[in-house]
Amino acid sequence: MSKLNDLSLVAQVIAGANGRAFELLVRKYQGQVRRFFLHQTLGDRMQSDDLSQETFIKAYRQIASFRSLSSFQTWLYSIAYNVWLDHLRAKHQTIQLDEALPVASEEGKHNAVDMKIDLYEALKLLTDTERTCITLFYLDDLPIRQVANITSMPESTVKSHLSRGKQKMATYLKQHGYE
Amino acid sequence: MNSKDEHTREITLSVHLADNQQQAVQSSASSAKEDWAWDADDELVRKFLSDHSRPVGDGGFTMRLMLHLPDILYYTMEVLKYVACIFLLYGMFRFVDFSQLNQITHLFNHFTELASLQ
Repeated sequence: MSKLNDLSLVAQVIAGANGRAFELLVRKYQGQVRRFFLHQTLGDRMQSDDLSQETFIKAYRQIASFRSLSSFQTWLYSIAYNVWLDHLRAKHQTIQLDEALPVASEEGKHNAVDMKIDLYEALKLLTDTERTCITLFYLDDLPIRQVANITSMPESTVKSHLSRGKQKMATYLKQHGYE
Repeated sequence: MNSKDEHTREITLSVHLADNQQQAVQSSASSAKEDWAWDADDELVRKFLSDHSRPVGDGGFTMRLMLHLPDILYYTMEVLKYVACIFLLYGMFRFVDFSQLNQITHLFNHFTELASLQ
C-alpha cells in the first residue's frame, strides 16, 4: 500500500477524488473486522461476512461524520460493535446482552479439529461483552482506552470484563492442560 | 487548480493536522495499557488466542463489498469495462477475417502511392 495514511484516504473518499480510496481502506481492515465477527459469532463464517459487509456499508455512508477524534480503526470497530449489538437485539430481543451466548458453529469446530482445544469452545465460556473485550485487548492488542471507546463503556467496566473473562479462560485452559 | 482539487487539498491538510493530534491520543492510549497489571494468566490467554486465531484472507470479500456499495459508480463502470473488453476481443476473433489483412495493407499502400504522385 502507498504512503497514504488512513486519514488521507478518508479525505479522498469524502471529496470523491479517488474512487479506489475506500477500496484501499476495506482491503486494509477487512481481515480485522471479519475476524472480530468470526469470534463474536463463534466461527460462523457466513454470518460474520454478512455483518462485516453491513459494517463497511455503514462506514461508507457515515464516513463524512468521521471527525478523526479517534483513529479510523477505532471508529470502524465501534461501528462493527454497534452492528453486532443490533444483530443481537434483533435475534434475542428480550434476552439481556450479557446472557446471549451464540452456539458455536459446526464449521468453527471443524476448522479447529486439529487443535487440542477449540478456540470457539473457549470463547463460548464468555459473555458477549467479555468476548468483545478479550478479543480486542489480547488479540488485536488494543489499549484499554481504545476498547472503552469502541464499546462506549468506562475503562473501569472494560477492566472488570477483562478480568472476569481472563479468569474464566485461564481456568478452562489450565483444566485442559494448555500451558 | 480547480475547486475540487482545492477542496481535496484543504481536507488533506486538515487531516494531517488531525493526524498529529491523533498520534498524541494514541501514545497516551498505549500508556493506558500499562495500567493493566499483566500476569501469567494474561500471557496464557494471549498466547492461546494468537496460537488459535488464523488471519482472515480477503477471498473476494472486498470485490463483493464494493459492488454492494451505494452510490458508487466506479466499480460498476470497472466491471462494465472488463465485460466490454471481453466482448470486443470475442468479436474480433470471431468475426474479423485476418486473411483479408494483406489485401487491406496492399490497398493502403496503393492509395499512399497515388497520393504521393499527386
